[in-house]
Order: sequence, then structure tokens, then C-alpha cells
Amino acid sequence: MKRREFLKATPCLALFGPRALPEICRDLDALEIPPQLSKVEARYYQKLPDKEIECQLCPRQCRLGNKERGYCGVRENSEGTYYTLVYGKACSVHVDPIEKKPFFHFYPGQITLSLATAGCNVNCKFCQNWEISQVRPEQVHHFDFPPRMVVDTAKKYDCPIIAYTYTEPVVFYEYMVDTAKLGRRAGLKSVVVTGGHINPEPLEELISVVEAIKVDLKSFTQDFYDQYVRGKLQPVLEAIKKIAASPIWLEIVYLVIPTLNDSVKEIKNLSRWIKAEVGPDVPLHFSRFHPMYLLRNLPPTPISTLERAHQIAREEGLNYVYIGNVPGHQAESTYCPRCGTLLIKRWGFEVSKINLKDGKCPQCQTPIPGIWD
Amino acid sequence: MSPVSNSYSRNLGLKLFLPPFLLGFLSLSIQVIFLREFSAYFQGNELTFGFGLGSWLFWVGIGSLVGPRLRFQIDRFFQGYYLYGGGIVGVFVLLRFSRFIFSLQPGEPASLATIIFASFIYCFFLGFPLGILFVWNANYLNGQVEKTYLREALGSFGGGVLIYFVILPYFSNWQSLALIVLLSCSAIFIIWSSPRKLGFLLSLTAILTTFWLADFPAEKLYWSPFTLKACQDSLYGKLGLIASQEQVTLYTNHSLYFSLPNPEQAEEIIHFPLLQFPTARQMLLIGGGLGGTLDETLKYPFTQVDYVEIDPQLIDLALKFLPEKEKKALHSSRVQLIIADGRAYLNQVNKKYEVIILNLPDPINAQLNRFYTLEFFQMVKQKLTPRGIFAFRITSSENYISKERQLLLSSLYNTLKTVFAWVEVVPGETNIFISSERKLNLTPSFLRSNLEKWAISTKFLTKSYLVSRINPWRQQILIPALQNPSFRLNTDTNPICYFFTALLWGKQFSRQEMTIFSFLAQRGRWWLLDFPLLLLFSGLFLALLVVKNRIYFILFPVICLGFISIVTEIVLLIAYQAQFGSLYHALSLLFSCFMLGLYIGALVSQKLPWSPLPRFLLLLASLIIFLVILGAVIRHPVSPLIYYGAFLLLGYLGGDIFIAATRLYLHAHSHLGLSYGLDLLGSFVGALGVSSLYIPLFGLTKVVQYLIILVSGALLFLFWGSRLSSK
Repeated sequence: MKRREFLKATPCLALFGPRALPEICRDLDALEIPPQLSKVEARYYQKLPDKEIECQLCPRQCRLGNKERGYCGVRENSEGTYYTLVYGKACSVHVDPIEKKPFFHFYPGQITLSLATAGCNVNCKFCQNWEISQVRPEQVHHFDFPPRMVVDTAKKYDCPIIAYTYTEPVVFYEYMVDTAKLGRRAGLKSVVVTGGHINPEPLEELISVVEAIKVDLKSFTQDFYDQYVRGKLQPVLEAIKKIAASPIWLEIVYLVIPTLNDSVKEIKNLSRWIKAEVGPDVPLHFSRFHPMYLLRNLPPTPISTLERAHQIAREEGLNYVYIGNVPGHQAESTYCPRCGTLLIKRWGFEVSKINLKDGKCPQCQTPIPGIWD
Repeated sequence: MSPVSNSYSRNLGLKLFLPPFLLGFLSLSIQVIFLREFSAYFQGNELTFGFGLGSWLFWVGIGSLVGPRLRFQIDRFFQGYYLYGGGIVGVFVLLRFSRFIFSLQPGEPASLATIIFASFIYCFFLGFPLGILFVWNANYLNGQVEKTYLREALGSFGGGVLIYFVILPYFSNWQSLALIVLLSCSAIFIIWSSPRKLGFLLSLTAILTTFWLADFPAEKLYWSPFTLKACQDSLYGKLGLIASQEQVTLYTNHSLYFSLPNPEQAEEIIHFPLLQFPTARQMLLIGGGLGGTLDETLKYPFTQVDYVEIDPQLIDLALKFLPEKEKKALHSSRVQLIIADGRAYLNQVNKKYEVIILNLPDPINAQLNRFYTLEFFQMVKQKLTPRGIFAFRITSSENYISKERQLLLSSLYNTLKTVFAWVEVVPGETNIFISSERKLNLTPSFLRSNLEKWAISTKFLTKSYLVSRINPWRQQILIPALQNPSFRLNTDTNPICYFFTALLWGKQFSRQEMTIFSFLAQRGRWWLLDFPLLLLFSGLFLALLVVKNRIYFILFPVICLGFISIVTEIVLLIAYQAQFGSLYHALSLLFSCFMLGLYIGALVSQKLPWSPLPRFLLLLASLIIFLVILGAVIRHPVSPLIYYGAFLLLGYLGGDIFIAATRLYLHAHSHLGLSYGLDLLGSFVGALGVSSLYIPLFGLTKVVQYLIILVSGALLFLFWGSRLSSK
């Protein structure tokens, strides 16, 4: 079995149990072979004199000389042509419930084929996947998983949705867009889990090929973005507005980190902004922070802090506010904003009951925004 | 002789004795307090410790090399003690507020570059003046380096005994520092005859009093914007307890120990193993009983728990601030609290357990690694009933297993597999390793049916949680990673896992910082041991042929000696703690034995007839014999007295060799600080590389073997050099 075949078999193995395991163990050495990077020309960049280029994919707008790589570490200028090094080079592939992304108003209870390549265009001190997001592609085990294979694998194992997640999908933009296009032709949906650090033009194209985007809004202050994310807030807000104005589905996640972004004022400002600029019906998830990466010694978020944030957002007029990472909490479930009827009952990532009739509340007939079937 | 002249001579004796004695006293005490503080604020692992100690030795060494260039003046000499005492207060304040200087969150691990930078800066202010003071002391004693060294060694011995037995058990680090400095400077006050001395003493007292009083407020400021409720320096580290609304979080050395309420963690570590054996009657819980785990254990109707916790102050703190539910669990008649080191307890207990759960942090240093070695797992197996279960957890990654993590996890997995017939691992952000001699069943359906059968109510471990946690996809990614065929066993004498955790830790920071470390780690024995040794010996051979002034040859064994003693000390300490448990209590006695040995060695060397060269050669030969015996001792269980004896003997050889070398050198040259400085620079090299790189990579035995080669080389070099000189 060659490395390529082995890696091709990995997703099958995950679904069909350990029968092929001894064979895979024999091929472990294959993981040790330094994998080849891709050399596919990148989109959204401008050629400059002296073999320089300017990347126009994300707000960093890296200006690079020959042989230099962008901030993300996965896009390289070679002799004045800009290349993506991770096209078709997935390093993490799993089957996850859509609730894990989380999307609560988009095909609840469905499973996704989730994938990522190495790299990220920000440096969050609390990144859950820092071992793949904060490294260069040469530093991770990755394997050939071209768009066609992604689509075939998703179909073969009954995953109706492909999710681009774990790291920052914007950095593997070309791979994501091509896979999403192929997927759509094959009847598959595509969802993106992003920090929203993307320029308007590429975002527009992305919106045209995927069905939903979840934006991780890390904070509502530039100060936080400077200190803990090393990115800019304003482009993220602009991206959210653009997605909200488009026909695709949008959800927003706000990871509440104790003392860093959990003040009443900040949550209030955030909720007001969402209501005014995005609308009251966009689902907003307040997720519980667990000690992680460089912030691994901060305490987890007190549940009462999350409940306070939930209350503020509801009081400010947002209709669908959730508490995440607290399995069993009642604010994990969806209620009708008008009559309070329980519409979708969740426990962690599990959906135990869907009580919607044609996308409406069965009691008061209020239409519940989302993509339900 | 008249009474007056008697008194005068007594005063003169004290006057000559006290300054070097106090130098040793200050030096060792401040070094210990600095390392405690430094490893607490910079998230101590072997690298942090190595850089802290290494930088200290480096700057003291440099100080003693620079010292002879500074003009000695008696008043300036005594003022030096006061200025040093007042100045170091500022360094400790800066150290506490390092997180503001380096823009870190409370408890945020600093990068390797930050640690190196910080340790070098702080140690410059702490160590450099001590080196100068050593040379000034030698000047003060009319150039008698031996006497200075002798009294300094005695002072270090006194300082070690005093702070470990009298001061540190009762006072915080800052309070201990204030006491030590005040004590030393008061002694200087007695012997310094200057009209300004009262002013100096009063100013210093005012500074130290403020420092003492500012301890808790400064710690509160460190934790801001969190609310620090309590903070204590126990014998085992810095304990801190913060409260944010209903959440209470306890820290040891600024690392999160547990947070309450956090049922997920408590449920996972208890129920995954106990659901394999829900009828277990005897359970041993090593560490981490206060984060809700005892409460979870008591949900099993028959289970009696022996809960072993090393730090009594941690229990006291918990009883003061934790919720009633936790206190109730701790006071349950089914829970027996045992204050002991977990490994030492397991070694001596004559009881069989049905379940043993290790709930300690990851093997981030040698101290913790001894709970994850082959020998420890074998000990656990001996104390388990035939159907018994053993479990522990390790931080992992849910979506991707990196190469560094694979090295760590596969080492632990395969070390367990060597001992137990069956090993199962729960995938996810934390991996729970469960081992037994019998088949285990980790399917969600089995676990769920047992939860229902025994009516155990859990908040997290529900049907869907179990299905999600024991996800076949992630299991099949994890299992091949664990079964890495090129794994390394983690043993007491080859403690590789703390090196792997250091690699993972380093990976979190810059992409380049750890490159040199990873690069070195990938080199084999040839590049790391054989080649440098070959290079060194070739250089020495060349020196024998080229260098005219043979007296410089003496200095090479002195550098070697500094290197060898620190490496041997580290080898002894790691072997000791692997055999007898926690080092903290014993450390004082072990170091004091070394210092006492140093004192006796230096004293004997000074008193013996003046024939340094043959004596020097004989001592090096004795050191070789000592190392040969040591190589055998560390591989076998022996009485702890052997270790104390080894420290005493090592100290003796060190003291004796130093004096002999100094005499030989000073016979021709009058650089007062050179031999002392070189000795410390050798120690610096040893402290830096050996504990963090060589010991985990090659093991204790191999390191000792190479030390023997090094000393033999030094011996041959000196012997040959002396023969050439005499010709």
C-alpha cells in the first residue's frame, strides 16, 4: 500500500472500524516522509515590479519579495508568481456533527465531512488547533486530498455537507472554493468556519459557492484583536455585514474569555451592533472558554458570565442567542422568540428533537430563520 | 594574654570569618529563593530551571573574573553587602511583575526567548555582584582564596540548613528573602566600623519591611483583573486561589491545578476507569482529589478511597475556600486522606487496590515524569488486584496529532503496554489512558449501561457525550499514532517523556526558537556526545603540543570539575527522586551534605602538606572510582543514606580538588577569581544542557559513562602535561 492509498483509506477506516488497522500500522512510516507541497497559482494577488507581489486575499495585504511567504505561511511568491502550497493538502479530516461547528439553524442533526490544511492568518493565543494553525505546512503530516476526492469521500459516507474548519479556511481559499464548486455540482453543501479576516472581493466569490458561513468574532474591541489575535476587528465586522446581506446563511460565535472580553459594556455594544447592522435573527453563540494553548492557565468561563451575556443579548433584542460548550444548558436549544415553544432540543452536539413545521413554530406559526431541509 | 587582647583577637577572628561566610550564606539562600520564584513565574520545567540556574552560575563566574579588575577598598566592600541586599529586592519585584514587562496574561507560559532573556537579566543583578564580592573577600583575606572558598562553603552549608529547615517552611519567598538579607547585613553591621553604617542598616530595614508587607498586594496585582483570594508559598511551590463569580480556581506555581465547578474533568477521570470496575472497594487516588473527583467517586456505593496528596497546605487552602460539597466529600468516612508523596506511598503500602487513578499534571518535568515511568507502572501493577484498573490522563489534541505529541503519547502508551496486557485510550482534548491485565470495554453502549445499572447521575457523561467522546474517527487517527513502532520507553534512568513535553511546550512559541533544540534532539549519540568529546580531546592534545605555559593546564580540570559536579548532582537528584519520591524535603539535606563535604574537602586540602600535583592527580583518580560506583548505584535500589553519602563525598572531592588546583595555579599567577569563575562557568554549561537534553535523551547511565571518560581525559591530560613540564 502506498502512502497515497493509505491516506486515501484513512477516512474509510474511521467509519468502518479497525479491521484495516494492522495494515495502517505497517504504513505508519509513510507519515514520516516529508510530503510534497502544492504549487497551484493563488488567486487575488497583484504582480509588482522586481518579482514582488501583493497578496489581496486578506486585510494583511502582505507585500512579498521573491521566495517570501505570506503571514499565513502557506502562500509563497516564486519568481513573481504567487502560489498556494496547500491546495489539496489536508492535514485534518474528520466527520463531525454540524452542531460542533456550531451551526444551529442549518440542517440540524446532519453530519459534515470536516477538513483543514495547515496555516492561519491570525495568531489567537487561545487557539484550539494551534498545532496545525500556527505552523508551516512542512511541519505537519498532510496528505493528498484533492477536491474530487473530498467530494467523493463525502458522498461515499453520506455526509451531505463539507465543512472547511479547524484552522482558517481563508488561507486555503483556492482549495476551498474549487471543492465547494465541485461539491455543489454533486449536490453537496459547503460551510465555512472562519475568523472573517478576508477582503471583500474574495469574500464575494466565496459567498457565491458556499451555503453558510460561521464567523468567530473574537471580541468587540480592537485592543483585544491587537493583544490576543494579532488582527483587525473592522474587516471582520465588514465581512459579517457582507455575509448578512447575501443570500447565504450566517451564524456568529463569540468565545467569552473571563476578564478579557466579557464586560457588560462590550457584550452590550456587540449585541446592539449585531441588531443594527446584521439583524436580530442572526444566531449568536456565546461559547464557554476552556483553558487552551497560551491561555491554558486562565480559568474556564463561569457559567453565570455566559448567562449574563445571554441575557444582555436577549434584552438588546436578538432573537436567537445560545450558550455553547456547556452541554445540558437550556440555552443550547432553540425556542420560538414569540411564544417560547421549544423548537429544537439539543444536548451538546446531539439534536434530540426538532419541533418545526415548514420552518415555522408549530404553536404560533412564526417563521424561524434558517435552512432546515 | 590579657582579657582585652583576648576579646580583640576574638573580634578579629569574627571580622575575618563573617564576610566570606555571609557571602556563601546569602549566595545559596538567594539562589534557592530565586529559582523557586523564577520557576513559578516562568512555568517551570527542566529548561526553565536549567536556564535559571545556568544564568546564575554564568554571572557569578563572570563577576569573579571581572572582580580583580576593580579596586578593593574596605568601606566599599562592606557597603557592597548593603547595596546588594537592597538592590536584589528590586530584582524580585521585577521578577514578580515580569508578566507586565513581557505582556503576558496571568499564568501564561513565556516563550523560550523570553525565559533566556529574563534569566540573563535578572541573574546579572543577582549573580554578578556575588562574583565580585568573592574576589573582594579574597582581597579582604589578603589573597587567601582557599580560606575564602572554605568559609564561603561553610556559609552555603549554613544558609542551606537555615532556609530549608527554619525559614522556608514558615515564611513566603519574599519574607524569607527579607529575613536572610536583614540577618546578613545585621551581622556585617557588627564588624563594620564606619560612622555611616547605622544609616545603611536603617535604610535597608525600611526597604525590607516594605518588601515584606508588599508580598500579598504584589501577588494580587500579578493576578489582576482576577480576584486573588489567597496565596501561599508552600514547600512544594506557590499556591494561589482565585475566585471569579461562582468559579474557584486553584493554581500551583501559576499552573492551573483545578477549577470548580468543572464537572467535565472530574467526571471523565473518575468514570471512565470506574465504569470498568463499578464494584471496586479499594481505590487509590494519587493527586487531584479536590477538583470534584472525590465527589464523583463517592457515587459508587462500595468504593473506599485512599486519597494521597503531597502538600498539606493545599488541603488547608481548599478547606478554607472550596464549596461545602467538596469539603463534605473530603470528610466522608469513605475517604482517607494521606499526606505523602504518591510514589513513596505506593512503594511502601502493603495493600492491594482494585482501581488506581493518577490525577497529576502532564510529565512536564523530572519530578512529575517519575509517575509515568516503566518502574512506576510496574509498582502500580504490583499493588493492583489481578482484575485491577489503572488510569491517568494527558493533555492531547482532538483534531490532529503532531509529531511531537505522537512521540510523547506513543512513549507513554508503549511503556504501559510493556507492563499491562490491555491498554485503552480515550481520544480527545485530553487522552485518558486505562490499563489492566484483563480485557477492557470502552464502547459507549457498555459505559452507558453501567451508568444506568449503578444509577450514577452525571452531568456530562451522557449517551451523546460518550458517543461523541469515543468517536471512532478520532480513535482511528489516535491509535496508529500511539502504536508508533519507533517509540522510546520512559524509564527512571531514561526519562524521555519530560523531554518530549519540553519539545511540545517549545513548539507553542516561535517557529524558530526550538529549531536548535529539535535539531540537537534529532542528532544521535555521535553528534551530541562522541563528537564534542573527540573535539575537546583533540584540542587538548594540540594544547599540549603548542601551549608553552603549562600552568594553564590546571585550569582545564577546574572547568571540568564545575561541569562534572553539577551534572553528577543532577544525576543523583533525578535518581534519588525516582527511588524515594519527592525531592523537596530531601533537597535541603542533600545540598547541605554536599556543602559540608565541600567544606571538609577544602579544609583537609588546606591542612595537608603542600604537594598539590600528585594529590590533584590522586583526587581525579578517586573521582573516576566514585563515578564508576555511582553508575552502578543509580541502577539498583539502595538505602537513601547512600545518596546522602554520595553528596558528601562529591562535595569533599570538589572542595579538595578546587583547593589543590587553586594552589597549583596561584603558585604561578595571582588572579584571585579565575579558578572560582571557571569552576562556575563549567557548572553553567552542565546546568544548561544536561538536565534538559542529555539526561532524557541518553539516560543517567550513559551520562555517567561519559563523565568517566571526561575525567579520565582530564587526568591523562594533566599527567602528560606535568611530565612534559618537568622535562
